[in-house]
Amino acid sequence: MKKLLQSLFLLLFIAFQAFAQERTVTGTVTAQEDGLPLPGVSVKVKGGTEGTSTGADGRFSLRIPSGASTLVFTYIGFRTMESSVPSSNNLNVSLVTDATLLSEVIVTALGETRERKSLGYSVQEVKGENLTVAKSMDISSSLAGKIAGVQLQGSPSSTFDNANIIIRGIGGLDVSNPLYIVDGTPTLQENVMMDNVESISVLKGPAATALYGNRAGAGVIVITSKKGSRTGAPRIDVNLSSSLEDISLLPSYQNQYAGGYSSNSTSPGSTYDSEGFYLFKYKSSTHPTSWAAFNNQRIIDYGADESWGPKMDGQPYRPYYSWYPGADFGKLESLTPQPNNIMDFFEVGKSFNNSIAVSGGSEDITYRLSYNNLSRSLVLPGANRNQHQIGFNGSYGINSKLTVSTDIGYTTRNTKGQPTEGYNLDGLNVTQNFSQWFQRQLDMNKLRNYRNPDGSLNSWNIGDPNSTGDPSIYLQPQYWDSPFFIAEQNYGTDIRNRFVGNMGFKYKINDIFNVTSFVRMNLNEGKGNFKVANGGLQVPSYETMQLSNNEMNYEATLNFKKGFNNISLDGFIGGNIRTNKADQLTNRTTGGLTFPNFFDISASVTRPFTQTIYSAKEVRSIFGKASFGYKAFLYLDATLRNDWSSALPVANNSYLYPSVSTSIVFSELLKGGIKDIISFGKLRAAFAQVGSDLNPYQVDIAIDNGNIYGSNPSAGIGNQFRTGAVLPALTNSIEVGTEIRFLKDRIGFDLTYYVDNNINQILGLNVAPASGFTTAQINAGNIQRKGWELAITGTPVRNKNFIWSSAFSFAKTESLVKELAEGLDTYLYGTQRNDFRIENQVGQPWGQAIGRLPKLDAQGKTVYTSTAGTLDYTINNNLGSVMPDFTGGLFNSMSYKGIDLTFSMDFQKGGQFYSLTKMYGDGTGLTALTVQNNDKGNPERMFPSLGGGVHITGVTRTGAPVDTYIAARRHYYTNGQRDTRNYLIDASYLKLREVRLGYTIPRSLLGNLKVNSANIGVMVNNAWLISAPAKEFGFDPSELEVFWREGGQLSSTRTFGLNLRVGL
Amino acid sequence: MKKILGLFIGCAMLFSACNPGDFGDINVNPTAVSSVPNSALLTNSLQQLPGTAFPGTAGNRHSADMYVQYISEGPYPGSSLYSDQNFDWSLHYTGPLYNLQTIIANANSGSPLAEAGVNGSKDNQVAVARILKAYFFWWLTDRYGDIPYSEALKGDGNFSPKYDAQKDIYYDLFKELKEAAAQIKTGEVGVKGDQFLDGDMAQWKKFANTTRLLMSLRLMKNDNAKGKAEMADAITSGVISSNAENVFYRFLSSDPNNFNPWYDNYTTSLRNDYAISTVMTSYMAPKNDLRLPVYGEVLSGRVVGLDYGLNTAKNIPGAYSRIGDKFRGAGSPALVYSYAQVLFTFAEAAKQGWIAGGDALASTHYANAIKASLETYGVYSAPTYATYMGNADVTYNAATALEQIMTQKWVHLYLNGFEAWSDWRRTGFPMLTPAINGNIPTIPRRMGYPTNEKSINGKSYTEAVARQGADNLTTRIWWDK
Repeated sequence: MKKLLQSLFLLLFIAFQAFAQERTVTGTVTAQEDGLPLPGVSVKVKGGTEGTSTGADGRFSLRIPSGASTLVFTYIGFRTMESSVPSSNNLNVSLVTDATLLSEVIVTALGETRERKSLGYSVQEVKGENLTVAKSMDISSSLAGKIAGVQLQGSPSSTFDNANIIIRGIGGLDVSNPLYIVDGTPTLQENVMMDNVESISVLKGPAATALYGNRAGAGVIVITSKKGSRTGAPRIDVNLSSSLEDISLLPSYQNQYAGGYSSNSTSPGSTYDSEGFYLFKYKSSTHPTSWAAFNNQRIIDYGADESWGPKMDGQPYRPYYSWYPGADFGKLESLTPQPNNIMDFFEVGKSFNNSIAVSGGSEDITYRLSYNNLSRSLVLPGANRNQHQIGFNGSYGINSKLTVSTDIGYTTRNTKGQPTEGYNLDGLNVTQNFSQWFQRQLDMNKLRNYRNPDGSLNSWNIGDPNSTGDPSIYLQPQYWDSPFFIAEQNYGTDIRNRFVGNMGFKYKINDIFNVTSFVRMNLNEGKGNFKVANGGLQVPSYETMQLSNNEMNYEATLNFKKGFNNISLDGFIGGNIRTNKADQLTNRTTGGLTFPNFFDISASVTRPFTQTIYSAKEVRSIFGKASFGYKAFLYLDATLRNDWSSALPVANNSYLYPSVSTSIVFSELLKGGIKDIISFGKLRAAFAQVGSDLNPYQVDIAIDNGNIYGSNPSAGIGNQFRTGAVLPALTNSIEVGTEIRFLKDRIGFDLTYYVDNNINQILGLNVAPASGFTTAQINAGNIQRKGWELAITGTPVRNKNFIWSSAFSFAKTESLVKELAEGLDTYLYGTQRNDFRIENQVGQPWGQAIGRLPKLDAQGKTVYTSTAGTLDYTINNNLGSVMPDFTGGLFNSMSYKGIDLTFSMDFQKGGQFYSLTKMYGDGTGLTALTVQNNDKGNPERMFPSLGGGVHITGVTRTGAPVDTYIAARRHYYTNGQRDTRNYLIDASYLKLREVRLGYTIPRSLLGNLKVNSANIGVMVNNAWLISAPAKEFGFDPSELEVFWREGGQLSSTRTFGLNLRVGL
Repeated sequence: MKKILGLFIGCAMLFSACNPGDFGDINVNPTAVSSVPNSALLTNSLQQLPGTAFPGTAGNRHSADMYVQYISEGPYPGSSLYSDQNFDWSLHYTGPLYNLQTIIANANSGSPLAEAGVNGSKDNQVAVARILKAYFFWWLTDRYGDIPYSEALKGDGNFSPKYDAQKDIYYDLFKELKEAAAQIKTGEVGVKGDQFLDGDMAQWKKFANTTRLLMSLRLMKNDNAKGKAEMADAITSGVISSNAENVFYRFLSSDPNNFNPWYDNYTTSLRNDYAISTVMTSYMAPKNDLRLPVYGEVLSGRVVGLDYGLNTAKNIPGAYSRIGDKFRGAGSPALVYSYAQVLFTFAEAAKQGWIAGGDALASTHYANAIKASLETYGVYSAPTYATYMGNADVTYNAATALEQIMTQKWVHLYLNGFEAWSDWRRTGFPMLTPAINGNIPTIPRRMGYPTNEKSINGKSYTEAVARQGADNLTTRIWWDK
């Protein structure tokens, strides 16, 4: 890190020297329309390389060579202006609004730049600077709330994982995520260098994505990277940030009761004393005589990974460590709450995210070279990542006809200790430990020293000294090792090297025709390992994994463009060949390691597990497009594509699909004063069809390799029935919309309505397993997806000193299962514990939650299985869809003089998810919910025989009345799990995601430094979960493991940082 | 320009001419076998066999061990409180049953996958597959009652097979087992891929006949005539006749993929959730039953049982005896059928008058069964056996003989919960007290159909429930009525 900074400053220094100039021009740029200063206007020397941009006050200062005479001013939405430099060296200009502002260009399918007004479908764009407000590290979360119809499927902010997004809800029976394209090359979102992003276009529906074919069914994220400028001066952009990250959200833990099982009993019995302490009972036959003095000491159920024990009132008791031989042996300690124990485990995460880019060009050449380093440590001890990215793009006009271009990026990334997520029995998810299975009185600082003097491990979760005096037995951990042992000794490392790039030729045949051809590659190579150390509960093991997946695309298009009078005609025909290859090799020791902590596959005690996965696929395509325009008023597009996919049955592997779309710019017809109100208006409509295929090797019934028995190979028939004759699936989509802007574009609306019918989908439908198969692959069904999207953009305030612009997005989408197949009306999407599952049922919205409900008798009384008070329940109850009602967001940027404030918010209403963390957290007495008083005014956790317990009333199955007090654990653990609604949580949220407050350092302060611009800012990422029903349970619904469930959700974190952007 | 356009169209034509839909063998997975011979299907099917007689914890099948109170639960009482109501069966239909069906289809169609040299003679392949199929179906119907049978395993021929009445299933299974045993050609090459009986076709015959013997007893309550006839025929055909013929499924201590399921549970997955129950220890310990230290872990010189059927959470290691090492070593075998089991069956049949001999013979079979059991668990010696038989409630007593036989059989069948549970359902022995904190006040008499059957095979499910009774744990299946 230090080295990097040093080299950056060295670069800065060289830059200052290199660009020393001879005279300085200063001036102010304003808008002619209102006379207000324009910030960010590009000012360049004509024919030279020097340039700058205006500050927030519209002022600029530029040193130019003595020979230069003309400056060029360019600003989006305004006409480019050239002005000669007067001898005074003072040049004030006012720019004129470009009437064709609305012909703003936008990048669409296959990298084609189009005039926005000509599009017959919805495309939304976000500029790079609005994406990286708080230096968000992945594209998906940076898009949250900024595009209508994009639902964030986040991942916990305390991991390295990328988020995902769903565009326009769910179009099929399963969820799919969009395709990411960087400068025309399909890639992974992790490969994108965020500081390089010029803009992102989100192509949402089939009409927009038709030219990408089948794999764009879930939408396309088209990323355009920054390029060098042909006319610009060489530019160096430095973007430095460092930030700190801390836990921002945890479940509400209770801090009154210690670990144990006593609140599971109705009376103290002979096991517990009246306060719920477990008692040590000396037995001469079992224990050493020296322990006789311990008789009747208060202990707790150390082996319990639950907190149903005694109240923490400072009473003396034997903590677990007083049973380990050593100085603490036999000591009593006072039982006191440890409200910060979980926070004490986590650390403050640190990250440094620095980039530098050099760009420029001349008449024939453009180039941009960039480097980014990201180094981050998580709040989880020992977890860190270091990533380097180098990117280059450039173009060279060899002659007036032929241009070559390239765009390449290389990423190398080293990760250690990626946190384990989800519900596991291996004890590797420490958050699961803390929020589901823990004892609240534990002092984290004691757990930190997990090694005994003899090198063996210790654990808080030991056995019962009552049963034996043999430490080798009672010190045996029951379920959990120390979380520090897990974090420090049981972890994986992962190295990824990725390359994405292309080389392209463009040959201009004449004014009408040109040919372009590209070869594009996307290579991902990775290797990793995972260690489970000796001494813990887990069988020690070592696993290595190598993977590689590559995609190649070869494409060629013939493009044409011709205008006749009022008519324009353009389009292309082309072809593409795509190959995908993936392979993965996994090796894992089994049965332990031959020597302690000898991490090698050869250390496997028994035959190591080894697995190779390989897949290959090729899709060949031809496609074409024709666009027709009449005046600047009427536009019509048509596309046609045919694919041949290797993954489909040979007889059915070719499929053709069209799209048509139209745009009518009705504001062209408006005349006179109304144009002052409606400055732009457009109607659009589109129809599209998209075909889709399969993953490789899914045509015929699979053979599942089994586990060899000795020398007998074992294999079985796969569980999916396949006919071998499946057809490509088709999606039909209709989309209509309008874009209207008012008051000289101060406010604009973009409204879209769409209906997609996914017909004849290739479904793995659930069938009765008694048929011999659990699913059947067939073409059937109709999943209808419809919804509407609204984007509002506006500039509420714009005056000399203050500019406030704002964008609001809102989307409502509904996916309805219209039909499945003959005789089948249910598709099982997913299952979880306790009879919970997600089904897609005919006639219902996508994603019905199915679960348990308490049984009620005819009078509506709660039924218990007996007078002991265990709840009776029914299964197969429909508890509503897990999909949200609507989603949206708000993006704001304000600037006042040199100060700028940017923030983004996003929200979701409705939807629900099933929480195992809440289920076990409540069930094991960890959460605040489990500390309550009953109607007698006594703690529920007190023994019912002493006046505690949870009051329940109802009837038994035979109708006998039940009116009793049951032990708290029975209520919260056993009965709780019999009502799924207890753990089905509303996923609504409103969140302030990112905030940045910046200050543009005035040129006057920069003195003689040759710096074009400098902005320093403070930023907060994941700033504030303003409101969410899930918040009190410790969840941010925008960060769930899986949007409909979580099994051991990792914590949310908030990041504070400093950011410095310098342009040279 | 025209030239260029022409060239481009030419290229496009060339592209189509070379058949863009021809991808060679790209879509053939190089890391999966493309076809599977019958021997490998048999190996695969047999890997599910121990789950029936030695269930382990997969799929909550340990519930059967709980119903007969062999084991108790420590920290998370659930199955022992009858909290599981619905049990999945897809593993068995889509796994062994469909694989066995495929073996038969391959052999009958003369497929190269059934080639005799590497799979055994055709008749032997078919016979073994039929026997095992019948065995799995028998085990399934005993759990649920009516199940899909005659219309099952037909793939796209029927994705929503009807449930057959259990009586019809039983009758057909008797026929299948008899025919299949008759189809065995001991003179021809035995089946290959058989890690269970090593292709010993004579043993397969005995396995089929023993299955029929045990099945016939199930009809004690409801269909005496058929039960008696099948029993007589099974005995005549030849059943297991010595401890040397006991059938075990051998797990492989050297291979984690073939470990004993209790080893997986205790040692690999570190679940110390189960201990031997006080129901077992309080019956066995006072009689100085030498099998007890085999059945349960010895802690400080004794086997400590865990109370059964309570809702209280207890930690087990060190405090209560986990199941014994002989049952939970990585390579500890699963006992599927034993000579003792056959002798107990004879004793019961003699006592009930299904076979000749009355009390006299019942008593002999009973005594021999206990001896065979002690031998099976490696704790037989003449003097200790004599002492043991001298225990007041062990010594054969004509008045309480059925209870004695069934209770001793239950002791012998330790951890084969399904078989002991069926015996209990038929006879009510051993005398068991339902779990005190159980979800239902009685011991379950069947298992509920898989949770999602109602949605994916609704019509058949509804029909079966209408015929058999509510889909819960207490409805009695046909032979239990």
